Amino acid sequence: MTQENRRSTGLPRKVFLLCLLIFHKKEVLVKMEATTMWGEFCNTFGTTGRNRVIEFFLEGRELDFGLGDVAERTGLIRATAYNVADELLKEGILVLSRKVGRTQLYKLNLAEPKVKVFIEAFNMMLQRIAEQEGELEIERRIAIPA
Amino acid sequence: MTAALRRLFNKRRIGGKHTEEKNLFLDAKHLSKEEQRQFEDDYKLCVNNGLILKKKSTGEWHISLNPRKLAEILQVIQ
Repeated sequence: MTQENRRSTGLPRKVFLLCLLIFHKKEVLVKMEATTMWGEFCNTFGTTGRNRVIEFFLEGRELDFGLGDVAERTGLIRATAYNVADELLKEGILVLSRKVGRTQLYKLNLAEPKVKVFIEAFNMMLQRIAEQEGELEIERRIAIPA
Repeated sequence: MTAALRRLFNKRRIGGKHTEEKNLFLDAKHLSKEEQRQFEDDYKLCVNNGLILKKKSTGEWHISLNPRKLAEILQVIQ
């Protein structure tokens, strides 16, 4: 920000720098959080809310989850998670599983052909990660001989 | 346990890139007590067999997948 702009905001220099530092740190934290929210599936197909929910259920395909947990662990707002889940329920990708207290749990519909395609793509991605990491490991061993 | 391993694998928590141990147990939240016990036993088995590496970082136990056993882990997952 130029001198003129700073004058126009009316903030003393120290306060301005502090605000800049806080904002910058927050941005870094948000970036760090984002990298832990999703994996290879979303990196490939895009980090939309729908993809994030599908990836979450693909990772834990044997288990059932409540939408509150899904929202928390995918970084979505609860309302978005519920909207996406409704959409996926209509398409038959998710099915209702069981109720624990007042919480409705959802599960991936493994009989659905679309889900089978997703699983195949997901497995291929895991295979690719293994190959990439395997190559890295070999490179590391060559660089530092035991 | 396969779901937790799959999650670690997909998020590339392999070797030096690690996550807190408690994140692994979030998957077992809605399981019955017996299943949770089974989950913990499987986890201990994975650590003992060297599929999961454990280290203490920032005061908590952190875990990651063993990069030398990725083929074995992939077999378990798929």
